[in-house]
Amino acid sequence: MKRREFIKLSAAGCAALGLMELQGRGLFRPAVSQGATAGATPQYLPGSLGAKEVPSVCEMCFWRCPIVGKVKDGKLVKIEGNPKSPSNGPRVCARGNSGVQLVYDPDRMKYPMKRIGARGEGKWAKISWDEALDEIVHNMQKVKKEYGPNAIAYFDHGASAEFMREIFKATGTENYTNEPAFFQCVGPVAVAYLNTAGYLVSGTRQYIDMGNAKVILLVGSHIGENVHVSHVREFVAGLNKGAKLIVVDPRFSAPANKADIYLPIRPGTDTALLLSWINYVIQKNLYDKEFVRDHCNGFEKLRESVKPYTIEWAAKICDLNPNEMRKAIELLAKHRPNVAIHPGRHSTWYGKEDVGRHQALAILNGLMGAVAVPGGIYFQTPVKPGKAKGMEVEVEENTPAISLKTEYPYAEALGTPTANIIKATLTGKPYPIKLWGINGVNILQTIPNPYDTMEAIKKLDFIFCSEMLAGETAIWSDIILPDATYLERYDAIHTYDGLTPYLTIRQPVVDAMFETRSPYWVAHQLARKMNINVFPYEKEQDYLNLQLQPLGLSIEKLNAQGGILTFPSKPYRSRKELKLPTDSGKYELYVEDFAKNKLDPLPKFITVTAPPKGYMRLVYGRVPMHTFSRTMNNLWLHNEMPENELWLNDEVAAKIGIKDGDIVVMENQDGKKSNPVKVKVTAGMRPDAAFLPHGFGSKSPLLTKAYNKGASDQFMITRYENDPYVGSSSHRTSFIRLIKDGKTLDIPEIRPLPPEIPRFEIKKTA
Amino acid sequence: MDAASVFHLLSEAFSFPDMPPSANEGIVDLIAGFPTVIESGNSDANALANSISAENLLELQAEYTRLFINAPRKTPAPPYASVYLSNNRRLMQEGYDDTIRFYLEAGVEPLDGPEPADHIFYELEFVGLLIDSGQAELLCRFLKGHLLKWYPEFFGCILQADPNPYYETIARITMSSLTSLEKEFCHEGESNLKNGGSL
Repeated sequence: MKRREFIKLSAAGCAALGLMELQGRGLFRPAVSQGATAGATPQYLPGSLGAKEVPSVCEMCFWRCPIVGKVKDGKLVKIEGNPKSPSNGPRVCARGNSGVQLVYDPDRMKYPMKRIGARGEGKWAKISWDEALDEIVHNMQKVKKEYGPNAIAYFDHGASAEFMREIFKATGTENYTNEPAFFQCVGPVAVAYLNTAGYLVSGTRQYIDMGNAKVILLVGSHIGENVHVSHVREFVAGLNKGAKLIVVDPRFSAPANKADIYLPIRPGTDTALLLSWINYVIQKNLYDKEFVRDHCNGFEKLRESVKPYTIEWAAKICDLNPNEMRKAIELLAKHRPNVAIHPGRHSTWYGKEDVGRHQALAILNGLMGAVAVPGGIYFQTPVKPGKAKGMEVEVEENTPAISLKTEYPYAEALGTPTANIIKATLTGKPYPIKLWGINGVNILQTIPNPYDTMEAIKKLDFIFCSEMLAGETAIWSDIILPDATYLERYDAIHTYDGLTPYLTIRQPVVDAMFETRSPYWVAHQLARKMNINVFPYEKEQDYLNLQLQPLGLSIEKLNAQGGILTFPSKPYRSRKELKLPTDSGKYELYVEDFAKNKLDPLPKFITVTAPPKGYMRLVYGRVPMHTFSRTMNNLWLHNEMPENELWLNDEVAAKIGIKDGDIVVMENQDGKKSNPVKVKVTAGMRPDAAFLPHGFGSKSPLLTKAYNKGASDQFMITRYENDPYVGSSSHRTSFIRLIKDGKTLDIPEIRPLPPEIPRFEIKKTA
Repeated sequence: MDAASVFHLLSEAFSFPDMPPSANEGIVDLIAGFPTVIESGNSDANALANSISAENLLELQAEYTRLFINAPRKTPAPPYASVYLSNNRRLMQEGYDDTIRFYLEAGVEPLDGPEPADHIFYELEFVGLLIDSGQAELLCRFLKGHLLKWYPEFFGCILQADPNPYYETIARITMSSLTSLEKEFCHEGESNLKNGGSL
């Protein structure tokens, strides 16, 4: 065709399209927008100026700060903290800012998918929601019929997973919740404080009043690298007001940099240090006698049990300077009761001794009388919205004759230990598990020994997941459901019960893209398809409005006042009115209930095996710009920190000829090798351990940017022990040596090991 | 086949397939009409016709999914203007705004669908509509100022992803049709085309 013909063909050379009959495939309609003519598009103010502001709640990590989404033309252009929020105000962290990138990531999951290649190959076809959900329902029913309800298991985490949990509960399985968040993270600390103080001093949140403390003690907590905005702000506020800081950490972390006393402890010996401190304050009469007399149980038993633990003994075990140890505990005791002994959060370090370690922290806290006083641990201020009927499935709680929970007395209330789910799936014992649902968690980058996890997946009849981005889990799934991001949906009401109590809601800042759906919608559909009597509300707004009603609110009214309702807090109690929420009303220095369950009622020193000759311990931690492996593909965050570096002690490096910036491969005690990783040579790391920021080295080829960037600590953690209280899995019990240019380098021993600590022995394979 | 129909069919070919290509008469004719393009892509038209007629629907859907929706290693060729025209490889950014401005100028707006309106199938359909209505000036501005600014890069991404013969062919025909349309109609007085449709 030539130009002349083209003009000839046209019916009306200069009529606007909208005025003609539109032919073709019917993808367009005449524009209805007024002024939709050339050049009449409105000239907007630059950036996010003049944008509509929608209050909501962040979910880039699990601290969940209140935010506002700034929206122009239906598009999210910026995220800020909600200025009405008493906890973070207008601030959000790097991850909170970068939620914009999550929504508009071209690699995000867009449609329901089914696997059409082999499992793990990542060959899919887009399917309809109906087909995807029918497939899930069919397989759930089939597995239940063939193997019984317990053959179904659910790995869940975060706000996106809660609604679907009810569906699993309704199948009758005992494995309807196995939160890796619990069994790989807060399990031990939660159990220790629940049984000592009677409430959850540390779970998702830590109720510790650092902002008003005269001394802050951190044992392994690297606040500032681990960014939870209001928590960091309280920490900084405390330091600003002159709080002294004691940091115990084998690595010179960000807070160690601010410490008045820094104790570079041998990894695995924290309990020895704490027990010697407990003994020291008792022996030297430095504890709060009045608090112990009026509010504690079990002091005499404690006094007896810690007698062997002297400062000199612990100094040798922990490889610390005894004078510094004394200086630290005396500083703490001098300022009691207004001292913040941080309970810790991620506590699944070494297995057998994890609960005891946190119990020792809790006991020290009690001896300092740092309970319900400014600077100490404080009480929550519960925020209670109203009820919406029918949001939970009613089931009879009964433990089956053969259960995966019975071996761990404190697991029951919280779910099934993930390690047991994986073992049962692998071996079929004590009963077979044939179906997994996964929601809001990347199980391969979360649970120790991912190699076992992959083997277990191969044995399943069916596995499905809900995903926003295609992590490793998606590659292994038969059906993938595309999750709307936290910026595109409603969720449950969000309350904060800390020092600045408030109530807010998550709501869509923009429409959900593609065919992504909210977790409630998915659970609601599944309930209909399976005839489960739950989730009677067609729309999320309906149950939210019911829950807001008793407060005299609705979504609309809440939004009109900036999206947040705040409450006065009551964190402290006078000694007179103080009553702990334990059965006895007292602070339990000796836990009867542990004894009843044939567990240690008092913390004691349990050795953690040291690295074998030629190896060092692998420890890991967080970085401010990432939330584990979930943010690795985020363009902005990736740009800030594309890969991780392995921290290596400078003396060790000099001896084995490694320079800063060299590339090495890690090899662990089981011969597993990592991706190549850059070494950061530093005096700020003990010689018997190496540190790797967690979440990198994605094995998912679907993640454009994160794929194979940096090394994964998780894929090095192939050896773990389970703690006997909750069955959580230890994460700091694997050892590495290094390979450079194809040569295996043994790690020299720079700090001698005392005879009390046995070495881990590598089994020689015949 | 007239030019508008070519673009309506290409738009269809870039949508998620609901029938095998051999069952779609329009698509079969379209491919038959571009033998020179196919040969320049190093395949012979007969062999291609055979491999396309053997293509089953599920495999085709899997290939579409892999290339344009989600796939191992990455989504190799996200089919959105925004990804190529914005400085941060994201959806719904400047490149998308650009697209919407052109639609409005023509007096149309996209129907709401699950896909953003800067998806390649919307844009090719829009080209067809502009031809239908003879809006030469706007068409040329759209090609030069927008679609031809990103299609070549997108086309490169498709080729790099080792596509099946069918999608490779559709991508080549699109490249060639856009180029010749721009050459033939957007340069007054120039007619340097040797044979209609070759690149």
